[in-house]
Amino acid sequence: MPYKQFSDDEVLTEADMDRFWIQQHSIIKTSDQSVTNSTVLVPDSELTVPILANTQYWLEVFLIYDAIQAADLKLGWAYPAGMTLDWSHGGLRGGATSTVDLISRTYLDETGFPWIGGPAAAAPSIAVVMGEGVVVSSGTAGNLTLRFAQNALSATPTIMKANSLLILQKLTV
Amino acid sequence: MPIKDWIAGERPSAADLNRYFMQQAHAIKSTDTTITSSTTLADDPHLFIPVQAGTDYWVQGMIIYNASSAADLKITFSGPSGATFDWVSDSLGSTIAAGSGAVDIISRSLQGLGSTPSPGGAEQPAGTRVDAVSVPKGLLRVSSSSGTLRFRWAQLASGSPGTIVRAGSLLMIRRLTT
Repeated sequence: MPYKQFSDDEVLTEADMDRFWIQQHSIIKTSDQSVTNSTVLVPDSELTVPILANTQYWLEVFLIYDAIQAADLKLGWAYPAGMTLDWSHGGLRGGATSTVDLISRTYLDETGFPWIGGPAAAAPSIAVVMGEGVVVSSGTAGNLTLRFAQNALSATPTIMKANSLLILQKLTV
Repeated sequence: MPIKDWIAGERPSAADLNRYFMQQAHAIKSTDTTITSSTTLADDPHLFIPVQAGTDYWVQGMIIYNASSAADLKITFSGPSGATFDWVSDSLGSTIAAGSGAVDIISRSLQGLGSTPSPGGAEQPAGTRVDAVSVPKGLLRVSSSSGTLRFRWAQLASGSPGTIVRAGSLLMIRRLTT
């Protein structure tokens, strides 16, 4: 049954709690984090969430970044063994020249590291990645952590900005 | 632990209920609203939701609109004093060519509370207006004052016939917990 109509004085069962009530977890980044002259993905210092074993989640990200056109942004993930992620970043295409440009709806898995465009030639060059996806963990719990870097080396830092957001919503079956 | 695995016989505490379970509120627009020959932002009569002091929200909308490529649409949000709202209109660019329909460049511009992005009016073929959708999303952080998150809009360029926001448009907020 996909939905339940609760009755007065009904005792909530463990199964009811786990099945019908949506649980969520969110992380709001509190300070900017920079990567300079590096295309090596580094963990975001704040955007990380624990993943339970054998659980499914709906993932949403709202990533405010500052990257010039010569550097751009590269994203990736660190994740527990056996976890899968099917997602699309929904951000500006690589090579974008404006914050209003073509966006990507390319399918990605947990191993993907997409190239996302920096919209302006000089800083500040701020835009937003709005991505979604499905997380399915296996028997191993652990942390899901956003990673990022420059897509091309630049002395002008690529910055993941404060107020970037990661939301995890538990899917129930 | 960010997500809780409930145990049979466990008594959910107030803290559990407040922390783990998603609460949401929404408003669905009940009738079309038209603004003609005006670029002055006006409150949408349907799309507004109360928000509480000291609370963060994930905001999502689906604004169904009909505008000429000459007039376009101009949108914004108002909120309580001290609130911040980082959002993206997720809409067609205002510079899209008449006749290209609603498949074109999309905004990923960061907006703030009171910013006024301008979703493009869609025509296909040129001269024949078609409905399009803006899907705004963002993080609303309410400071010490409660109030109302309100969708406001106008034409980007004054013209007739008017720009329409359709019935069925949606504003939805979800309380965020950490």
